[in-house]
Amino acid sequence: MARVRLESIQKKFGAMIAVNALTFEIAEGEFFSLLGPSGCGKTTTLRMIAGFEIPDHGRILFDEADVTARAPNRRNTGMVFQNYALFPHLTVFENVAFGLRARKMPLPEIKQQVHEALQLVEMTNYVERPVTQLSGGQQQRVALARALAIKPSILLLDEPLSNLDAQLRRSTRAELKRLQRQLGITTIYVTHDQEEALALSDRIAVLHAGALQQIGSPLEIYTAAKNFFVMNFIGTSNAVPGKVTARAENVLSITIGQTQIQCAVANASRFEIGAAVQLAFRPEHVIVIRAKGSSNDSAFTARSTLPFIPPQWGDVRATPQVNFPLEGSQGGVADTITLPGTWRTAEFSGTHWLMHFAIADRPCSARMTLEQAVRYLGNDFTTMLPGEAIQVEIAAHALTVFEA
Amino acid sequence: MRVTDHLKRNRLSWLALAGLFLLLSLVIYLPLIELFAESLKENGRWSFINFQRFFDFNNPAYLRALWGSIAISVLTVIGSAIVGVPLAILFSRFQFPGRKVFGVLVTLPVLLPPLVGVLAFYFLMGETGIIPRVLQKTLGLQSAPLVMRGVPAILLVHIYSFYVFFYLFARNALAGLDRSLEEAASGLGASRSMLWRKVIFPQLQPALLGAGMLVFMNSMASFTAPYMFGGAWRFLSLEIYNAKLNGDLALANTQAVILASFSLLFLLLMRWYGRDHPTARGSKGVALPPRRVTQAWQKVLLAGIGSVLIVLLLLPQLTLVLIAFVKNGTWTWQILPEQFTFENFVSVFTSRDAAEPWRNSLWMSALATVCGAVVAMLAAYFTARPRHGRAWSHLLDASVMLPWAVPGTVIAMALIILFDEPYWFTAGNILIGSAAILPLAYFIRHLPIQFRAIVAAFTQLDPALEEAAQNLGAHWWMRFRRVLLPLLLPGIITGGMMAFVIALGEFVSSILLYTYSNRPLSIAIFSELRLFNLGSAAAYSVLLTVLIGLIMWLSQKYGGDRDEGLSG
Repeated sequence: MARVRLESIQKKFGAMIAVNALTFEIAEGEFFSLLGPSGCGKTTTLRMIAGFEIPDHGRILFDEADVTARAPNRRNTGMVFQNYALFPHLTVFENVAFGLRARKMPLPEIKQQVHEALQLVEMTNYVERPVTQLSGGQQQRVALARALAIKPSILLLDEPLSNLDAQLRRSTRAELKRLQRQLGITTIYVTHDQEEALALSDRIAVLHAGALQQIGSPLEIYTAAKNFFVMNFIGTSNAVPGKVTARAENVLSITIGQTQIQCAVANASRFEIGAAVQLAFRPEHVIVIRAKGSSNDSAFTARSTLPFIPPQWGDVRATPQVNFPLEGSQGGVADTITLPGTWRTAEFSGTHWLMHFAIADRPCSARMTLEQAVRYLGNDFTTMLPGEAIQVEIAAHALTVFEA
Repeated sequence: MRVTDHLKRNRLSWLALAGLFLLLSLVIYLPLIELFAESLKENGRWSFINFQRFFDFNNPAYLRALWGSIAISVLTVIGSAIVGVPLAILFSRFQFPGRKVFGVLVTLPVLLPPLVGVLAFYFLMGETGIIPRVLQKTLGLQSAPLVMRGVPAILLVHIYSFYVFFYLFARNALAGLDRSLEEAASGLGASRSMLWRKVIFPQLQPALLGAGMLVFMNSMASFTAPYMFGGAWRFLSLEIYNAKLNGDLALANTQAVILASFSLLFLLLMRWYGRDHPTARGSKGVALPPRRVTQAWQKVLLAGIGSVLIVLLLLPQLTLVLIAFVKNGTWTWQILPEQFTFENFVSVFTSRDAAEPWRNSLWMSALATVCGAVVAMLAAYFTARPRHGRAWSHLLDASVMLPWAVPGTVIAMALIILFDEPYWFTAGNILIGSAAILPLAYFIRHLPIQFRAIVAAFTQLDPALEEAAQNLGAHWWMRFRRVLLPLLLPGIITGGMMAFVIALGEFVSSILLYTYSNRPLSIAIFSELRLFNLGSAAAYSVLLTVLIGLIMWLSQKYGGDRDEGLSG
C-alpha cells in the first residue's frame, strides 16, 4: 500500500495539453476517483501513474520515491483495463499467473497466489478455462484477480465497469467497494460516470479540459460545487444568466430578465457591479407554481391558502458533517427566490415528474413529486399548454452564483 | 535518475529502429540509388546520354518497348476487369448449383507461379500446342489454327492470372455493400440499371481502382509471358534482360530506372486519385443472402457458365499434368504424345542433377522467408506501435513497401549494379555470382508481403495487451515471447508461407541473378524447356504446383484469420 503524490503534472500530445498543472495527493488505502467527461485527461493521468506516459513537467511519487520516469514493469501497480486486456491465448490460470511468472516466483507459490486471487473474485471454478469462453462479467473478475495477484501497492482501474450491462454494473460496483475495503489497497478509479464515482469513492477529483476543477468527498462535490462545470457534471443543474446590479457585504442584487432578486452569497466582493453571472440550481431545489384560477381543477386553490411544502433538499441536510456555503436565510434575504417563468412540458420519470419550463428563455427543469405537482399546478397539469406563465420558486440556500 | 531511466528504456528501441533503417538502406535504398546514379553516368562521368538514347525519337526502338509495356498493361487491366467483375457479381449475388466449388477454383490461378502458368498455356495453345495440332489434324488445315503468340498470347496469360485481383476486390466490396442503400434507391423508384449505375457501381469504384492498380503494376512488371510469347514485340521488362544479356549494362540500367519510375508514378497517381474518392464505409447494412436462381433455364445457364469456366481454368493445368508423364523427346510431330513414363517424377528423387534445383529453391526460399519474418516483424512493430513518432513509422512503412512497387527485373538490376564489388557490410564479398544473391533478392522482393500480413495481425491486436503485460511486471523479452509472438503467429505464418511459396517459383529476378550452382526450380524448368525436355519441365511444374497447394492448405489451417481477440 502506498501514498500517491502528483506534483504539478503537465502532459502535452503535440500542441494539445492533455493534463495541466495537476497536483493532488492520495492517502494510503484511499478509494480515489478521477472523474470527468471524455478527453478531460483522466485516463492520461492514470496512464502517467501506471508509467505508460511520461509527464512533460512535474513529479509523481509513490510514498517518498520519485517514480516519474520509472518503467511500468517496475512500479508494482495493478491495473484493470477498460476492455480487460486479458491475454486471449492463455487460460484463466495463466492470465492470473502472468505477473507472478514475471516475478520469477516458484510454481507452488504461483499456484497458491493465483488460487487466493481467484478466491477473492469467486472465480476458482474457472481456473482452466480459456478466457475467451468467459462472459463479460467473468472476464472483468479475472482481470481484477490478475491485477490483485501481484499484490500491487496501488490498484488502478480504468473504467472497469463500462463494458458491463446496467444491472451487472451495480452489483460489481458493490463488490468492488467491499474488496477494496477488505484489502485496504490504495485505489485510483477513472470514470466518466458520476453515479459510480459518488457511490464508490472516498474522494473525487473532477477534471475538465486537463485541469483539476475540484477535489473533495462525494458530498462536498455534490452539494458545494466550486464552479458551474462541476455542478452541472455531477447531477444535473439549471443555469440562468443574470447581471449584478448592487452588492452588500454578503448579498448580491441580480437582474434576471425583468426581475430583480436578492441573493445571499458567501463572498460577494468577488463580483463587480455590472458583472454577468450564472445562477445555478438543481431541479430538486425548485418548484413551479401556477397562478390561481388558471386550472380547470376545481379543488386547485394555489398555494396562498395552503401551507407551503418546501422543495426537497435531497438527503444532504440530514448529514451533519456537510458545511453549506450558503446556510439558510441571511440578512433579510428570503428563504425562497421567486422568478417568473414560461411552461413547456411535464415528463414522467418514474419516481418523479420532471417539469420543463423556461426562465428568461433559458430551458430549466424542476423535479417534483406527484403530490407537489397536484398541489401547485392542479390535477390537470399534464395538459397545461406550453407558453402559460408560471412562477418558479427556488430554495435560496441551494442557489449558487457563478461568474459567467 | 528519472531521466536516465526513461532514456535507457528508449535506447534499445531507438537502436533497433536505427538498425532496421540501416538494413533497409543497404538492401533497398542503396541498390536503387546506385541504379539511378549509374543511369546518369557515361564512362564514370555524369551525363544524360543514356536517357537521350532511350528517348531518341529518331530511333524509337526503346520507346516502343515502353509503349508496348504500357499498352499491354492497359489491355490487361481492361480484360481482367471484363472477366473478373462479372464473375464477382455472379458469385456474390446468385445462388446456383456448384457455387461453392466454382468459388474456390476461380481463385486458383493466383496461386500459380507465373512461369508455370505460362508453360501451361504454351503446351496448350502455343506454337506446337495441343489444341492447334488437334484442330489442324481434324479439320485438315494447311497450318495450325488458333496458335497463340505475340500480344494475344500475353494478354490471355495475363488475364488468366490477373483477373483474380478484380474478382477478389469486387467480391469483397460487394459483400461490404450496405444493402439498405439499394433498398432505399429502389424505394425511391430507381430502375435496375439505374441502381447499378448510380448506387452500386460508384461504391465499387475504390475496390476496382485498387484492383486496376495491382493489375497494371503486375503487368508492367511481367516478364515471363512477354519472354515466352513476345516474338517481335518489345516490352520494357524484357528489354532490360536483353540489354543485360548483351552486356549493355548502361542501357539495361536506364531502362530499369524508367520502368521503376513509371510504376512508382502510376502508384502515386492512383493513390492521389483514390484519396479524392472516398466511400461511405462502416454501415450496418445486413448482407442479404445471394439470390436463389429458381427457373430451370437459369440454373442450366449458370451451371453451364460455371462448367465452361472450370474447364477453361483447369485445362492448362491438366495439360501440364499430361505432359509431365510424357517421355522426354518423344513428342515431336505426333498430334498427341504417345509414350508415357513416370521417369520425370522419379528422377527428381533419384538423380542428383534433377534434385539440386529443389534443394536450392527450398533452402534459398526458406532462408529469405526466415530473415524476412524477423525483419518484417520488427518493421511491423514500429509501424503499428509508433513509439518514436508517426513520421518514423510512415517512413518505415514506405521503405518496406518500396520493393512491392518496383518490378522484379529492376530489383535484380539494382542488385547487379551494386553488388558487383565488395563492401564492408558484405564482409568483403562480391555477392553477384555467389549463393547469397538469390536469397537476398527473394528477401527484398517478398518482404512487403510478410510485412503486410504481420501489420494486419497487429491491427487486430489490442495495444492494451502489451501494456497489461508490462503493468504486471514483464520486461520486453517476456512481453514479446509470451504475448506478441503467440498472438501474431498466425500473421507471421500466413505472410511467411505466401513469401515462401512465391519465392519457390520466382523467375523474374532469378534469371538475371542465378549461377549454375545455385540454380532455382524456375531456372531448371526453363532450361529443360530449352533442351526440349518437355516432360521434365512439366513434371517440375506439376510438383511445384502440388507443393504450393500443400503449403497454402497448411497455412490456411494453421495461420490466417483465427480471430481470438477479446476486445470488441
